[in-house]
Amino acid sequence: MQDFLTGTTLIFTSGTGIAIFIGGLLGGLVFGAIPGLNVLTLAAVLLPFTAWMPAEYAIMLYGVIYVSGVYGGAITAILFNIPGSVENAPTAFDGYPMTRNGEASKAIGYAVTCSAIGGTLSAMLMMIATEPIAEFAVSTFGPIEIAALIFFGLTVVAGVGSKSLAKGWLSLCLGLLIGTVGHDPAAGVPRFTFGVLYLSGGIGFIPMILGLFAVSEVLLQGQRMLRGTYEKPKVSVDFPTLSEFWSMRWAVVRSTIIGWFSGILPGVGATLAAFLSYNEAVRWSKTPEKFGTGFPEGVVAPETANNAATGAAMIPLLALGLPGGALTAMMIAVFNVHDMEVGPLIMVEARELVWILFASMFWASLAILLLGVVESKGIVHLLRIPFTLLAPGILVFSTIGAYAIRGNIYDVYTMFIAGIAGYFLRRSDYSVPAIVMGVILGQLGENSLVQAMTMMDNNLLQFFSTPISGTLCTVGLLTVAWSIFQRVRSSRSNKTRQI
Amino acid sequence: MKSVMRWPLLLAGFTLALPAAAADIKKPGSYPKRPITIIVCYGKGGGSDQAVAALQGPASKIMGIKVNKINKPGGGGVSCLPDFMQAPADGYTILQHADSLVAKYVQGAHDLHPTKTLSPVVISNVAPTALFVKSGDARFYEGGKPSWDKVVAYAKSNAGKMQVSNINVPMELVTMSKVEDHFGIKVKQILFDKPAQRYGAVIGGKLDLLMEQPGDVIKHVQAGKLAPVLAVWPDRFKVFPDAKATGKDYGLKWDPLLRIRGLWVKKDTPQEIKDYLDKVFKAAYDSAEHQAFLKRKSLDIVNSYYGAKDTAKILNDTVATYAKIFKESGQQLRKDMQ
Repeated sequence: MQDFLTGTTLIFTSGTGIAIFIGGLLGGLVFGAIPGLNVLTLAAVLLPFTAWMPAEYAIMLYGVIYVSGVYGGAITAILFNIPGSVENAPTAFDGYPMTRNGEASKAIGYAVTCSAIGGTLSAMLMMIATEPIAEFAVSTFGPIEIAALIFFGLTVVAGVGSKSLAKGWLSLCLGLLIGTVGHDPAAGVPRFTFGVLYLSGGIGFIPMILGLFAVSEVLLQGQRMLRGTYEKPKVSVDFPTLSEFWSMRWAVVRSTIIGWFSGILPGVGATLAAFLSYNEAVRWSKTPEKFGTGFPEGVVAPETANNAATGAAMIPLLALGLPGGALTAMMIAVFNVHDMEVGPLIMVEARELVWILFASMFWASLAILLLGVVESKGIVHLLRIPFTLLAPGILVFSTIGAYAIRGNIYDVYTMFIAGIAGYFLRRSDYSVPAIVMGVILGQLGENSLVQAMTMMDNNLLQFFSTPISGTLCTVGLLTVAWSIFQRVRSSRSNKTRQI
Repeated sequence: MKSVMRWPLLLAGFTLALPAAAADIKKPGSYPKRPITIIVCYGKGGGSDQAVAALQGPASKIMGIKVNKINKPGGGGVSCLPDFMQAPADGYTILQHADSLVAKYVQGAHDLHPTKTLSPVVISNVAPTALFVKSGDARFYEGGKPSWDKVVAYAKSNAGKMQVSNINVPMELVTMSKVEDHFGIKVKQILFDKPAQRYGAVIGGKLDLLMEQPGDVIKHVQAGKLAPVLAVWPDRFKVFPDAKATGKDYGLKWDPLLRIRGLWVKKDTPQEIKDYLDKVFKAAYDSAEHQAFLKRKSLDIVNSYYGAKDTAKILNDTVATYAKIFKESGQQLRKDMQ
């Protein structure tokens, strides 16, 4: 407690400290919300300047932008179906349908509150037990367990966003297939590149999700306008009630745990956290068919988890010097600039700085709650803009986002092709969320699968040789069997009723 | 706590820390007038990433523009190449790669000849390789110290079961195979692109051995998480005096392959820009900030700097070396070299 108070005091007792805290908070929110200009862009731009900052401010700044940036991307995902970052993509699955149902403010309310809860709980865990948890994570989760974890996540994907199980599986397989385009991660062999240079680098994920979500949505709504069936989303400023929050308590607890575990695994981080926790929300729900239609738990789960992963990601970084993602790796550079090495000795050599980082992330998590309440009442009024003006704005915004990632015009083409494909897929009741989850989980999982197969001498049964991977694979297989059984049973009962 | 008043002093300090020659580098026309991007072909936090990060600051100050860094890992260092090749040959996109660019070319994994299709700018890192075990792993300790003899004994009594955390890069794969042949052992290599996962697998006890360059993991050694057990080098490394060397201690007569990290631009980049970048990165290499990095990371075991001309010669020699190794060992070789 003494360390926490010292860290807090060092942040908030000087005007410069407060200014950097607020600047980082707003910067993270803005950059997190703009596709193509995610929080990594901001962190990279700021990196050289940290050399000239006192170490305590440099470290604090990175802690704050990390927390606020992960939340920032949720706003555009909910309001316009444009996820600011990859880890906000699952938030759009239900957040945007809530906007269409006139519940944008509620969706933002859930997102902001759960981001704050996930981030705060995670920061508290980080403060209590950084070292033992880091040791536990690296000694428990190797390639076999990570591959099993991703398989476990994939097993519920087919049930999300499609009424037909077959179309759900086809969507997932399409996603997995798209994820294989480019050089394979193990041997560097080109796959499905057809000699095209752009394809050999793999299909850009951000342009693809911008196309599948934002562009296809503009096309669908445009078609409805032409047919005269377009309904403008209702604008309400209702914040979720306490009883509504209470009904989400298990989703929050479950997603916080998933976020923690994903965050503490080196090289995994917030993206897997968001996707896995969305899948688990579906798996544990009594009404899984409601996911993808504007179900609040579909917003609560990924937003709790991706913020819970932020604090957890500090654990392997600080205790072992192993970064969980790109931003945590940049933090290593910030420490290095100030002649410090992250790793077990950091708690001894720079204890004060570490506690400034902990305190800044804790207070940033709480601060986004305050900012978010204001935001949920104000920003939803953007929806009052007529769609005829909003649609071109979304297209321009998305185009800039796709191009800004690496200044490559082919990313813009990819976005529009994905948008047109998404339009037809959605019209035919294929699941866009399943495609997106197939791509991201497939890419994350392939590396681990190849490593695991080498370790197991290509014997798949070895997945059942360790308690963690065995349990994950067994529950995953049972989930697939159960979903097939349920669908067969419901189609039989439908036929009986028709007779 | 340190006062914010020291910022201007620090700025002045960094400027003064640049070599005097940096001030004399004449810009070619209006280049550079916007930020420069360096594409790094390996993951965040690894040796390549750290090498670029250490040059970024000094190079930015010398050129007076921002130098950005983008990591594009995957495919054993091949997935980054399309991004680089799609960029214009204007000196604003620089490729950072390693000896694996050469080796993969020789294997036919890509068609970018390191000196004929591309133009080398600088070699800024040259490092030998070592093997590490988890600190305190009783299987590999003798008399309270890590012992390579114990590792060999364990590998022989568990034939083909010992698992090595490695990267899918020919330099490491060839080196490990040389070690296997010399000591009469057979291991299983698990390949990781992300450094954190590569190191974490051994620190967490999931795998038995780690192959890596000393500077990349020295912080884990100093923190007591990893212990050096063998230097793949004629002599023991001064930084790890207890770890035996393949040459002096075990009689392996072989010129070890080295991790070479450098920068490239596209061949068609204007010559005056190439000359300018050659001078800029020489000055960045010599800066006090970068020299401190080399010392901190023990990257001073062998000479680590070569300018554009020497780099081209080294790379052409490396092409010939890998072609010979792959031919002799019956490994995949590009068609025009068979």
